Amino acid sequence: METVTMTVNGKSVTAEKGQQLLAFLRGQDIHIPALCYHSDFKAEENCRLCLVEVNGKVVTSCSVRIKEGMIVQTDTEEIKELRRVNTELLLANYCGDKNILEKTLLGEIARKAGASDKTGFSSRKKTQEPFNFENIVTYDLTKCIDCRNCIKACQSQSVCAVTVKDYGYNEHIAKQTNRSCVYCGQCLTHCPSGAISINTAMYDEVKSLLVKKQDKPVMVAQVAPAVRAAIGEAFGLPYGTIATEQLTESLKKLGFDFVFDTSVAADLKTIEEAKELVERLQKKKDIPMFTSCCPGWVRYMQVYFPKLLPLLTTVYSPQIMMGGLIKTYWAKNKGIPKENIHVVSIMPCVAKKWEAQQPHNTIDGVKRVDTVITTAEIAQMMKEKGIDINSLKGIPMDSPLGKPTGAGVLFGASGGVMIAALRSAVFLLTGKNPELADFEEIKKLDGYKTMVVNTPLRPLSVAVIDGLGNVGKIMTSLSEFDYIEIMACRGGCIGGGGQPVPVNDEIRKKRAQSLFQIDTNSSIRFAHDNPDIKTLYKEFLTDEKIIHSICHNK
Amino acid sequence: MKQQSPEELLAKIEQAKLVGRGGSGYSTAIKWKEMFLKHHETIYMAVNGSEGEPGTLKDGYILASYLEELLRGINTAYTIFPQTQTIYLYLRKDYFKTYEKQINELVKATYPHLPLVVFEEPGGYLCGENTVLVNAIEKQRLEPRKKPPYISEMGILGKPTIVNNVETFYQIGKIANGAYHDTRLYSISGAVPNPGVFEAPNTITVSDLLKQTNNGIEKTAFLILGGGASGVYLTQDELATTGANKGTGAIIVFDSSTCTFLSHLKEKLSFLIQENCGKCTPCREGVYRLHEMIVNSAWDQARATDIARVLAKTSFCGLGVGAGNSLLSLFDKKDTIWKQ
Repeated sequence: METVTMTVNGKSVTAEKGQQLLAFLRGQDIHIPALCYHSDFKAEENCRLCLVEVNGKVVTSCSVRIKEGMIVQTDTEEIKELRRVNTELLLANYCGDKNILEKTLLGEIARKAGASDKTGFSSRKKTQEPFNFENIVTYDLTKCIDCRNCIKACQSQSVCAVTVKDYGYNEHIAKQTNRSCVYCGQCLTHCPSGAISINTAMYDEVKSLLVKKQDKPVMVAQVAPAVRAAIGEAFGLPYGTIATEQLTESLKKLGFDFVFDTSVAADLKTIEEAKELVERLQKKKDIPMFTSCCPGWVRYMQVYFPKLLPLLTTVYSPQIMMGGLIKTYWAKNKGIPKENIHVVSIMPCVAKKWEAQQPHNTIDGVKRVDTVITTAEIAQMMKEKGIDINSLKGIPMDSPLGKPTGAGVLFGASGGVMIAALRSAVFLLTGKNPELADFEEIKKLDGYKTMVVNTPLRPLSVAVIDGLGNVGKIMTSLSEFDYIEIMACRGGCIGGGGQPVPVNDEIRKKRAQSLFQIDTNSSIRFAHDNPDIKTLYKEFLTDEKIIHSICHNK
Repeated sequence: MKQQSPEELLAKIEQAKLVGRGGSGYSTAIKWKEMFLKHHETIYMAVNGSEGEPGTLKDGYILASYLEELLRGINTAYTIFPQTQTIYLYLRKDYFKTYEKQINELVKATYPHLPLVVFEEPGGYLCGENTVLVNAIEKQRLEPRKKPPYISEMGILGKPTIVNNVETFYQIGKIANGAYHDTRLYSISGAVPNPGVFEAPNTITVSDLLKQTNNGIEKTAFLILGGGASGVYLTQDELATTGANKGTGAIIVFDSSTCTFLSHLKEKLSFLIQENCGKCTPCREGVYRLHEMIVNSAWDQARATDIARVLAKTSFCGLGVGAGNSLLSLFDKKDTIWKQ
């Protein structure tokens, strides 16, 4: 790294040569507004808000690389004025609710720029029609400010389901013909003006069921691992704060009768998936095996790589498995008819809504999971009811489906499913738990990780991918691998499309770190050692037929 | 005449101090020498005949009257860069329609070895911008690209690319022939008795150019120098001291007794709003709001100046910057032009 000296607002500073000026200035705690800039991708240089003066010339700081001797001014009257005018030009088209605008990045930038929404200009977008993807993700173009982050996010996922159509003031975001959305929700977490949203039908249904006076079904929530590492952010807690018990208490206050941990189903999935892996390896059939817990990935495979579908593990995802357990095992133990139970999954994910609605995800004629609510949505529901996580002490989840191992919680971060499964696979093959259970190489969040794991059977070659944009990297070398974990979102579920915003690499790292910490601190770190799961196998999952109906989709 | 070497030709271009005639006025010798020294593998070349800047007529004039000279210039470029994969003669729609056949026939008869493709420009004004031209040839969205990478490093199909204006190639043909005498083509149009394209010295003043071309103008006239969309406004007392060599060499004369500030603006903005790509905030939103204020009879000069300033200072590409500067120059001279 070569360092150079430059002047910022009259002060001499050292910086890395070639670094992007915008990123550097923000690192110095200098406010630089930007809408089309996100650390997840290259700036499009569209919004023209990150203006600074470099050597006397007005430039966008996203397009400048640092050089020796640069003289930078970030807050001259001219710069402030130019930023204000460009912000007002963007703001003039925003048709949404002012209170909602306040909470968006656009609102924050407008406030800091002193931009007026009373320019007298009327929005040219008033009459633009919204569009949606199978009623899951909706684009409200009347709130869109044409930053094109959604397109960048979708392209970085190699999905490319949205594009820009027409020119000039007619320009607008539109569906790309012949491409299908996979509901990863990354467009949503990268939109600075709240123009992209999740269909509210499930949210509204849950809200009304929770307050129902008569014929209220038994409301059962299951909470995915990654939710606990991000829900606090919506209430001002530092990134990555773990708030499992406060969330549980909040859910009870909202009216849920029982709260279970999806991580317990992850433990069960781990055991079943490890069994399946060993079996496939021994039979030398359908290798490499792909994980299936991420519905964004499953949908992506269905749409874009359908020929690979036989390679997916047959084990259901944790949310679906948990739904199945609640409506059979737990319902029977409690003596509640399964028709009277409404299972709500609290997920970091948009695609889980799609997964829950799939016709094959039923058991004995009822849906395994009735509704899915994202982390951001549950935070919203709590706020509507005046529930603040900060004021709660927290309570543990309900038993017997409320106590996961460290392995189960790992599912929320990229590499976690792989680590959990390898721990159990090694156990299956050797009869004892592996000494080194951390597999550090696959904990890093860099998109594409590979590792060779020694087993008595043979060395296993595994790969872990986060971000659908990295899937292409492995497609030409599939035969070199035995087992592949793929998560649609960067960082895995902790970076899911249903998580609170903002999100970036730093935030994802903090969330992932917290989940890894839970695992490291757990007294039980092997899925197959979970006492509740052991009981489950003893009492309920007693033969292949029932195991199959609960855990496997074929 | 003996075949000249690439080095000799480049030296002649350098000696002639030729600058590109597309509007930005960059030294052709610097651009070409860098390409010559750095890139020996496949490159692409485009001869830009988009000629979208209002009031500019010279490329059409060359195609109509000096096609052989133009091809000589293109052939000179090919002599310097024989590694050129394809030379796109990129023409706006009407030029393509009129001249495609004629050009192809002439190439066959005179320079059959040239890998020349006559290419029809898919859009309007913006398509003349060099990176939009590259996108157009690659059939991508018609909007400017981020720089870097510069097209001299990564242009058409990712290869180093030279783009120059039709007139630049025409003048290179003259340089190769020893017939270049430090002139350029000026397009004169509007409220003048003798409109047309004229070749005159690079150093000529606007008033001399008008005089020499028999274009006497009314006392109430004002003009845009350098191109209708991006040129600067001149009042009469500036003509004798201002060099005519600006932008695309276009001079459009208006008569302030037959138009108002707002009617003139309306015409200008109607063009800009049509030709806007939509990529960046100031150009997409700013031009829209300026146009809206005019058509809604709600002109607010202070706000308009704010918008013209962001156009000039913060637009993504040269077209927005040019439009902004042109508007600021108009606002600046408004009271002088319409003094009554």
